[in-house]
Amino acid sequence: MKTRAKLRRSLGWGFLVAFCCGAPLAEASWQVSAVPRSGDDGAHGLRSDGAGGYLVAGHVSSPRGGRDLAVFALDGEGVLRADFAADGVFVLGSSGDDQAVDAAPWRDEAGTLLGYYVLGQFAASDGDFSSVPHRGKLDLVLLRLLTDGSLDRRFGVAGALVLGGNDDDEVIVHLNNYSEPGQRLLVDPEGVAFAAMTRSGDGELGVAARVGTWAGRDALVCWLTHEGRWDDRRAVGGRLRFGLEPGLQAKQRGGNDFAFSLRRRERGWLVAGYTLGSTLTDQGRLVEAPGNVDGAGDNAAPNGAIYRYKMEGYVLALDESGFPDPEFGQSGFAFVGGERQEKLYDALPLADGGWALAGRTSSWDGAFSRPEPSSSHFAAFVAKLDAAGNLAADFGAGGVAFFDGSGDDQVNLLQSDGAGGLWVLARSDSKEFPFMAHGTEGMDVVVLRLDKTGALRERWRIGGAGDDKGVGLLAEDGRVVLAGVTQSNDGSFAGRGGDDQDVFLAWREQAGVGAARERILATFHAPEARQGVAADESHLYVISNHAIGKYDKSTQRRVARWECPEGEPLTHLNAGIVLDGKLYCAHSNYPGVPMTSSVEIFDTETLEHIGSHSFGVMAGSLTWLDRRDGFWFACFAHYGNRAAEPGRDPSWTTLVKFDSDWRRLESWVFPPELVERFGDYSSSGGAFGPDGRLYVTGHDNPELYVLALPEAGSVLRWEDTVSIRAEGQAYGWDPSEPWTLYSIVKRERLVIKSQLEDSPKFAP
Amino acid sequence: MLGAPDPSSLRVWCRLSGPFEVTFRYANNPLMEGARLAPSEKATAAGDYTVVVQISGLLPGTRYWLEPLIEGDRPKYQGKRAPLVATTAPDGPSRFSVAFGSCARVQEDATQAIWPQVAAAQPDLFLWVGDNVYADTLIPSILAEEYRKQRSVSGLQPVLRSTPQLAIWDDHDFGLNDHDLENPIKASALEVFRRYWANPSYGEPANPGVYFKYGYGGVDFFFLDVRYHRSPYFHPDGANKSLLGARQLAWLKDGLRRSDAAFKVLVSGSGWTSLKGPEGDSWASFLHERDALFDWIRDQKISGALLLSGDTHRGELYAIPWSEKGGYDLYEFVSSPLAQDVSPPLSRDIWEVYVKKPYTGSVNFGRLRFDMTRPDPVLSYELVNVNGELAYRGFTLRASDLVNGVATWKSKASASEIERREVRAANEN
Repeated sequence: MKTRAKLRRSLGWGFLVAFCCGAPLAEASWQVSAVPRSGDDGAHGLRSDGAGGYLVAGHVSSPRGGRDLAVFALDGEGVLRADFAADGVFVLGSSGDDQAVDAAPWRDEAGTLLGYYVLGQFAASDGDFSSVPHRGKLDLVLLRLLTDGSLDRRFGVAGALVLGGNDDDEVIVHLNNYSEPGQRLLVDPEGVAFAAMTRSGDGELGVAARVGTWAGRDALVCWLTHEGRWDDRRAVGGRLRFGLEPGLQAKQRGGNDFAFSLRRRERGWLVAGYTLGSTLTDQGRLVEAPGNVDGAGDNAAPNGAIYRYKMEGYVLALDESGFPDPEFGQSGFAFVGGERQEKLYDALPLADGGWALAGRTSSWDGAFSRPEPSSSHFAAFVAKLDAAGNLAADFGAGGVAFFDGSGDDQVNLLQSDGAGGLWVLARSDSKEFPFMAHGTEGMDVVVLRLDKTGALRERWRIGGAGDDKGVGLLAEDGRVVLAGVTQSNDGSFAGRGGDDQDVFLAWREQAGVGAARERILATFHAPEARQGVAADESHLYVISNHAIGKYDKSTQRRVARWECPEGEPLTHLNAGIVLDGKLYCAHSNYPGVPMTSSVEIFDTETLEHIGSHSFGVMAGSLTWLDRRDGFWFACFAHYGNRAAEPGRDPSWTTLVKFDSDWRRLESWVFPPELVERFGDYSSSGGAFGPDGRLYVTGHDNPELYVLALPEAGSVLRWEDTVSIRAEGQAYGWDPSEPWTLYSIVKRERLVIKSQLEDSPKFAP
Repeated sequence: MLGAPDPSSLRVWCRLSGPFEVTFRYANNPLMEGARLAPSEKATAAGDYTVVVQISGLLPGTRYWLEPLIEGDRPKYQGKRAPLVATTAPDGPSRFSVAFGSCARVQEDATQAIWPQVAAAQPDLFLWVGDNVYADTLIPSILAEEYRKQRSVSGLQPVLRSTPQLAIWDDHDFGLNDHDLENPIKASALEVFRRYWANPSYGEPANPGVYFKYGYGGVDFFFLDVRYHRSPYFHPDGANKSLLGARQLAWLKDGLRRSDAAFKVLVSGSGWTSLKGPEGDSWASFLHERDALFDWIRDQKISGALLLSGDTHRGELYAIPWSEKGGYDLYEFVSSPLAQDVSPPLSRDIWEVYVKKPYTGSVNFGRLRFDMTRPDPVLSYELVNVNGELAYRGFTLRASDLVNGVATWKSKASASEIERREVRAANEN
């Protein structure tokens, strides 16, 4: 009955929604696997386990009363892994409420999985925690597990490092409403970083480097080495705590500052959360959370609700030293929100240097003005900040996109969709667009997909009759995966059994979900690193407009150099590839009009110029070429700058297939969204990857675009985007090491050797 | 207390309760597997029962766990303590941090709340930049007693046990206030100093003093003795007045000339600026010698020089703008006090540049973080107060900033400070 009702409703709304915004409600495309266990289970975070499965950090009911900290290890089908801890669940507990909020894999430089870190909190020095000192109220605990789910006894005291003082030291503040998921834990080969909160004035958190005031709860960022020592390269002694001074209205709550998300930025970190405070002074500069300053509006919402406390979302950008980055926002801080309550749960870096923010709001003023105040208390929002920390005009309405039903809605987590857009994990008990009721009471998990302007493109609702809440979202390995907790026993959760809350995993196969990550293997400086780099088995050919440097791959020393003699016709070399002892370079007359192109051929041994094939005026300006199955593929760019031909712009950029005698066979153009991403200088590099797909760069963005030749039509299919260190320009695959490539950062004249990890698994 | 480590050796300073023989068991793991014994040292009454045990033949950049053995046994009441953990110096350019401070008056501040902050910062080295005790005495035994009192401060213990300590003196731990070469007990004071510190060396064979050169992670530190050979401050400044003495000055120049470190840190108990005026107890009354040294650094094309000092009971950060004289800007990092009243702000209209406003909010320590692994090595500086707040932050220098012809001070100083110097220059013209 219920399924039919659901279907009917969805068809009805589907029309309206499709009509309104082209985002039909999708159903039945998610597979759900609940993990039925006796007792109440809880979940706070989801991560890949680095071995094809997933880790869910949370808690289980404790035989001692309260909750025990738990990590659920699930395989790719959501089934508990028999080879991890006790039947797939690692449990550690005291007589109090103990929880894990996040768990992340630990790999070495070579990418070998060594174990897992688990971040949590515990409440008493008894039970499994009897051998570790408990400092008072709640203490933070960082655990290290081996890959089999046993404690790694080389770390801390028997695998546990306890951090805290005489008061609450927490990663989860509100135990019961699960409103605080977020990625708090970052693990890389150098060490571990996490965001948390503390009220303690003593112990190791009492001597953290401090920004702002010490009042109520302070937000906290900690950095540790894998030896369990504080990483003293960050902040002072690996600890930074910060907080805003409460205004009059927040005094009773002591100016709490919450930190729920810690993400890496290009050079440093970004912390996100919300604050009840209103000001702080840092290095003599005043920082203000404008919505929280006393007198900023009244506290009565349009629906009549009175909010006792003002709250405002913040992000704090830290540089590599672990201190606030003065170049960002106000002394490193940026605030989002209006005059009432905002909570911010996540901040995700975007390819353009900006940040997507997720949270909920009850304000209706300023950037949070909306056409019609609904009757709801909280609207979900996704906002975008530009790289400098200001709301970005190119997103939503004035930088904020709202998703507001009649109930309480909030966005918990964001992930990139690899194509400029966002996956959004939300929760809602609203019964209308955009969340779509299933007709029963209770909260449901909502997944939205937004494009880069914040417009809704796809949406799903997962849940049954009971409360279902999502806590973690991943978009990788060709899948979108979410974890949460359910109390439903119908629909997808039918047959779960019992009234207790259980952990569940849901997933959806999704072509084009970014999987590859780049691992930097080496870098070196080369004066020719202006246009691109090509590689053969033993050497690199670093290319500038009119010079080529040949470098020994192993020593990174230059062994030969060619420079175009004065007055010779080679003026603007672009990308190159090495084939059969010859370096083939794309060449054009940039910025000349009309655009002419040629292929220039060099002997890789001597760098002597030995041949040329001229296209004359062809399909644009030749920027890169590759050969596959005996055919040449060559990209002819069009520009949006002074070098543009009349009536042409970058959308005219064309990939042409030639036979071995340079006879034109076929050609394609790039998808408009990608052309926009390229910008005025179009595409500068490209080649077929080991999986047969095209990996293409723009001119500036630190991204590698994965494209496939279409089955029909003339537009290449954009399937994936890989973040890379290089900033566009031409790159070359290493013919002797699969998935290894050489690329450049033109600004720094830097050559980068890197490898794509977890290389895309799905074929075009 | 840990002394100055080398890439292959460690020094540990101890004081015993009697004439006992002490050594350390050491191993490269906490379980003490494969532990070895260091050569033992015998404590004597003549040496105040202080000894320095040297452990050699170690690997560079490696952590070692050390357990004391007194007369061959673990000390009865120390036995349950965790072993000391000490790390040998790296054998090449590395990333590391150095904390420093000055002016610890245990008579005035027996608690010394700064130390937990120093411990939390986990510096790789801690530098005592003078007035490490306030003995103000001409009786050597009183001086030694003050060291013992200072070493007993409970918050200091974790720092002494975990962080190598290097020290020079200033007036209050040398003799009397503002004392100089006329100090009648300077030889005895040096004896006491040597007994209570574990520096790698002290002066030169023919020239006593506490000065020494120490290299760590690609940085060379020149610790200066600004008291033993110092002319009285009230003498007229000129060629006959010296703060270092001729031999130490020659030693310094020789060391600077030979150093190929990208940063060369000159550590002085006395401040380097003219702030204290012509009769001030600092380099201010030795400008002839100071300026000649800076000119020499310029003329010899010695790059990468930095200045460190204490004494003033304020946190300060100056640039001595030698770029205006054809050299490069010499930055001076001042931290003071560690445990002592803070002085009121003092800002005179001096030729040097106030890069930061003097900090008088609380006791403090300075923290230099070096990254010598980069092609252009970089340092950053913070001044940390008693609450762990950062009085100064966001100051960085690259080695390439410290080369003749490069002027950087205007990019570091505030607009009002730049204006002050412009007004001053206009008035002078």
